[in-house]
Amino acid sequence: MSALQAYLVFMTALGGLAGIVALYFMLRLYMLLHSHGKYTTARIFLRKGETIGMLILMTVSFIFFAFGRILSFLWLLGCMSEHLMLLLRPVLDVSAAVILSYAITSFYKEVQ
Amino acid sequence: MIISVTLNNRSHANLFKKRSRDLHEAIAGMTDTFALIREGVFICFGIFLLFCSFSLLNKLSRREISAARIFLEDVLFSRIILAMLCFLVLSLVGSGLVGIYLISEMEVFRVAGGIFLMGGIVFLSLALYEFNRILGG
Repeated sequence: MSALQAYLVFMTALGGLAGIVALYFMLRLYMLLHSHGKYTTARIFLRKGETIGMLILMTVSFIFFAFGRILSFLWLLGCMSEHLMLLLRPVLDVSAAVILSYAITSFYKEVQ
Repeated sequence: MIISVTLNNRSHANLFKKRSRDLHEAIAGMTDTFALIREGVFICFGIFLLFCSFSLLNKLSRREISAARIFLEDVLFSRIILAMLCFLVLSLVGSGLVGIYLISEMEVFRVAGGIFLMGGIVFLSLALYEFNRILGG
């Protein structure tokens, strides 16, 4: 396995791990919203400083994710070398996954 | 007669090799076309995601109003979380398949992973669009 391939596998595993954490807390949040919708949204309203901050962080993670997609399109257009794209895109994707998992975890802890 | 059978077998083997090479070339061509389609879908939804995200950031900066609107639209907010859940599930499965492709280098995993990732980005776009609507967009 080449160094680049090992780097890609490592970043995929790291992103997957962060994704599993985000998925777990998202599932718990959905179950909380499904069973006690008004109560949970009332907690969001009452603790707006923290919860809206976490929603902003979640949105920032989506911006990272979108930039990753735009990067791969730039490679397809020939504006960027494949090597650079393969180095940068996983960094953006993993950053997005880590920020998202942190935001979801904190958001869930605020509203539970 | 033996020579004729051997020649016949050789020509069959050559034909099989040629067909196999053609098939490999066809699959490689298809995966390149698929990569183009995948990246096309990603760029379309990527630009939409960027637009929605910056719009959301703008709306979320008015914390009082955002929190009140989320409180009022609790059913829609629960649907947004469900769409984000679908995005996470599809993205995780997709990245797992891409990870298997990186190890095994079998094109089928790359194609399947790409399909799951495309599904994921569609759900994320749906979630952000609905979230924008809740916050008054």
